[in-house]
Amino acid sequence: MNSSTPGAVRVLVGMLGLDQHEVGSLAVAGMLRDAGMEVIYLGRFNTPAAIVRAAIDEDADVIGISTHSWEYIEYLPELMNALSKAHCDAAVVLGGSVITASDRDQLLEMGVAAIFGAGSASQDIVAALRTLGATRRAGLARG
Amino acid sequence: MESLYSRSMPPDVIGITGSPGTGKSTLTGRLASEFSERGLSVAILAVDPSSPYSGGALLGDRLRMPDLDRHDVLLRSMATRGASGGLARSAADVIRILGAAGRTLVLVETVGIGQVDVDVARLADMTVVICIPGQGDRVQAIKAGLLESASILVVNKADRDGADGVIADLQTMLRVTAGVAARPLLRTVATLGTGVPELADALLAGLEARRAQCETRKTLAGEVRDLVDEDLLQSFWTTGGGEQVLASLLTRAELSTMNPYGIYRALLAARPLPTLSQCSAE
Repeated sequence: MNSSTPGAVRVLVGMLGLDQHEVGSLAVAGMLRDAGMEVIYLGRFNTPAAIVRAAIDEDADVIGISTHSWEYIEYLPELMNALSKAHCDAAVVLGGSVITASDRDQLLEMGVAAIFGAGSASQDIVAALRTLGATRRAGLARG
Repeated sequence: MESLYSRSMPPDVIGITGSPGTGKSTLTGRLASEFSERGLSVAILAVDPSSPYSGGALLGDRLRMPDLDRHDVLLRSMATRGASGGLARSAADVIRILGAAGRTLVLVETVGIGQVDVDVARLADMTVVICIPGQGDRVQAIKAGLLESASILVVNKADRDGADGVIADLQTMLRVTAGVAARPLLRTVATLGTGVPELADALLAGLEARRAQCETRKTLAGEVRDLVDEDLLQSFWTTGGGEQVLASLLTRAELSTMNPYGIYRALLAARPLPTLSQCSAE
């Protein structure tokens, strides 16, 4: 089946709430595409429920949330809860310029797989997502 | 995969195609909502090209369909992944799986470029071809295959200048092209939903007529051809070692005397055409 061939990691890229700052999100989407990944682009103004639904429909390996406003504090817990309720095993990765050190710790504890702040190297992001994708695929293959 | 065929009915398939920027995603989303409101169980399969350079893809169709959250419409994006003949096969499987999951109508949206499009269109019971105003001169409308492949022609963005001109051109072309005179020609403004109920009516009527004529046999024939093509290519190039023979022929040949026909004959001599293996589609 096309979607289960190993290789292309499937990544949702989107933003939550009313965050307007889309440049980073678009840049990362292009970067991941150029690294050979299949990016399902959700753009701005998503609710956690919409992200979960898209992740399930699309069999996403990774959910990448771009944030350049405080709203992640409000929405990330909701997203993590909704994912676990829906038994969705996609890894959540957060990227953005405004994530504080103390929030970072809390988010990781909550189950966020990785967090990339301002100045992150693109090869680090790509490598992390490849690993997360491969881990999920290996889990699926084992059943 | 095979067991799905014995256990479920195939869904009706509507293909939606047109050049980039014609409003395919928006119209597909609107149609899905419309069908869903009429009580049908709808899925969308959105096919987008993979980059030939990186192998990656940017699948942006969800962006144009924000309305889906309010309806029970399943949307799956699919990248062509090179599509060396195999895409139509995987798309057929995905359609069948969506059917087994209880979806009775699948809208397949394809980028209106090249072979991928033709291949996927073959899977559809009805094909909608979208045109818009301001898309070059009238010659564009008569490029081979466009009118013939459409079950229904739609002029989207019909509130824009030039819409009447496009309609007139298409009407003329429908009159002078053999066998297509009866194709419906509709206007829509997908962003507003204008014309969408009428398009849905026309599509459902078309599906009904098709059922009466048992046209699905043709689709089935196409799917079997795809299986043979895929299997033959695979057994020639990969399992049959054709790639290796070609590589060695290429290293041996003098650059100045290389020509594709000679190498082709040498390749066939070294590697006779394979017999079909048991098809391994899972």
